[in-house]
Amino acid sequence: MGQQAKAYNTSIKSLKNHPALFLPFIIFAILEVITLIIIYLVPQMPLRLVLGPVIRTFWGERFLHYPANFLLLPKLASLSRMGLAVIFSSLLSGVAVALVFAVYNKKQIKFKEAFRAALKKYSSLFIVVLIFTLLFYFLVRLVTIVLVSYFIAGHSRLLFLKAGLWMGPILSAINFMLALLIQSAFVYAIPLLIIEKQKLIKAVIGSFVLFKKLFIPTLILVGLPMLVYIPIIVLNSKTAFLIDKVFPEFVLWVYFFGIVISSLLIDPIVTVSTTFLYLLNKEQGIGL
Amino acid sequence: MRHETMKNIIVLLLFVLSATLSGCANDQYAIEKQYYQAQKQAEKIFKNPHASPPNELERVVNILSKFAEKHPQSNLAVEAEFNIARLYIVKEEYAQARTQIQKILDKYSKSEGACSEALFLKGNSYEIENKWDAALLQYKKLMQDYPITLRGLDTPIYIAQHYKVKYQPDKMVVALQEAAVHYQALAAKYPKSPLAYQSHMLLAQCYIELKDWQNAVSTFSSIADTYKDKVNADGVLLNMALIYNRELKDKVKAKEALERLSKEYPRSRLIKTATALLKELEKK
Repeated sequence: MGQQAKAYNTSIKSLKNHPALFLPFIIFAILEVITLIIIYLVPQMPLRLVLGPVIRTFWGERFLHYPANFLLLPKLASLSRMGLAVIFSSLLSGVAVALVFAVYNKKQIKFKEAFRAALKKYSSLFIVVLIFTLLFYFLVRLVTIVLVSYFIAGHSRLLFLKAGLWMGPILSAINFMLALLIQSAFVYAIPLLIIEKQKLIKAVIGSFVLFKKLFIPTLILVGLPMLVYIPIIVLNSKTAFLIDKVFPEFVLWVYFFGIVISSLLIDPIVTVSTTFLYLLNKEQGIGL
Repeated sequence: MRHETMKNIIVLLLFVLSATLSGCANDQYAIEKQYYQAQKQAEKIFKNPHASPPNELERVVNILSKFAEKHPQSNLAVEAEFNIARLYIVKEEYAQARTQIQKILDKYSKSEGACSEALFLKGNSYEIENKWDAALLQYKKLMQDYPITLRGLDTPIYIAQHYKVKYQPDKMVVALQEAAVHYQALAAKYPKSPLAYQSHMLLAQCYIELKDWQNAVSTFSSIADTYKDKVNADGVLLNMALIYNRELKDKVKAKEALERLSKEYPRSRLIKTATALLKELEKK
C-alpha cells in the first residue's frame, strides 16, 4: 500500500497547493457541459433544424419529442464524450501531466508552456486516446452482443443467473472492469510521451510494461476514484424509471453531476496520482 | 474594468442559458412539455380514481382545458380534450363525459379520425355503465358514418369480441357474420387499396373466429395473390399452412403454402419456422 498512499498523499497536497493543476480538467468539463446543453437543445428550435435530421435518421422521430429525448440523452452524451476525449482530453491530459511534472520539479506552473509541450505531442496523444477509446467501445459492444445473442438463442440462464441480472448489473460490472483495465494499461503512455518525450509505439509499450510492474498500485490509483462514479452508472441505466417516477430533466442533472464527478474529481486524481507514481518510481530507478 | 466586463458577460450568458433551458420558447417541444406536465396530473386520477380528492378532477380538467384553448392547432389539444372525457368516465361522471365527447364531435367535425374515436369512447362510456344496447348504437353509428377510419374498421370485430367475452356464442356468431359481410362490402368498394387489404385481413380473422376454415384459407389465398407485390404476405402464407395442417388436415396444401413462402420470401423472418414445419410434414 506504500506506493499508492505516497502517490495519493503527494497528489492531494499538490492539488491543494497548486489549484492551477485543475485548469485542464475544468476546460474539459466546460466543453462537456456545452456539448450536453447542445444535446439537450437538439429537439428545440433552432438546433432541431440542423441536428434533427441526424437524430431522426439514426434513432427515430420519437427522440425529437418530449420526454423521449431524455431516453436518448445518456447515449448521445456518452458518444460525444468519447469524441471530446479523443480530440480535447488527449491534449488537456498532456497539459495536466506537463503541469504535474513542473510541480514535481518544484518549478513554477506555466500553463502556456505546458500547453506548448502537449501540443508538440498532440498527434501521438490523439492516437493513444483514440486507441484506448475504440478498444473500450468495441470490447463493451462485443460483450453485449455475445450476451444478447446467447439469451436470444433461447437460453434463460447463464451460470445459473437470469438474463435480467446479466444484462443489468453484471454487464455494468463487466464494463466497469474493462474500463479499469484498459485505462490502467494505457495510463502511463501520456507521462512517457510528455515527460520522457518518447515516440508513440515506445510510449504505449512502455505503458504496458509499467502497468505490469506496478499492477496493483495502478489498479488502485485508477480504480478507487472510479468507484465514486458507480452511482452515476446505476442512475444512467434507469433512465426510463427516472423520467417516469422523478421528472424527465432529472436525467440531464444526473449526467451533469456525472461530468462534475468524472472531469473534476476522478480524472484529476487519476492523472495526477498516476503521474506522481510514475515519477516516484522513476526516482527510485524502477522504470522501463 | 476588464474584470467588471467579464462579470457582466458571464451574467448575461447565464441569463440566456437559463432562459433557454427553462423552455421559454413556444415551439412544438415546449408545447409537448406543457402537455406532459398536464398529463402527469391526470395520471394520478387515472391510477386511483376513487382515492383522488373531489376537487382534483376539476383542477386537472381545468389544466387540460386551458392547454387545449392555448394550443388549438396542436394535435395534443385533441388528446387533451379526449383525456378530459376519459377522466369523467373513470370518475363515473358519465353525463359530463358524454357532454365533453359531444363537444369534441362538434369542434372536430371535419376530422373523421377524431370523430370516430369520440364515438367509440361514447360507446365505451355506455359499456362501462352496463348499457350495452346504447353502446351498440354508438358502435353501429361509427361503422356507418366512419367506416374507413381505423376505429371504424376495428369496430365490427370489437362487437363480436364483446359477445365472446360475455359468453354469448349465438350473438357472437351473428356479429361475426355481419362483420364478414361488412368487410366484404368495403373490400369490394375500394378494390386493391390498402383499405381493401386491411378489410380482407379482418375478413379472414372473422372466418377463423367462426371456424370457417375453408373460407379463411380462401381469403388468405386471395390476399397472397392480390397484394403480393404490395405487401409482405409471408405471415399470410404461414397462417394458410397452419390452417391446412391443423384444421383441414390437408398436408399437401400445407406443404404447397410453405414452399410458396420459401420461394417468394427467402429472406423472411418466418423462414426458420416454415422450414421446420416442412420437415415435420415430410416426416409424417
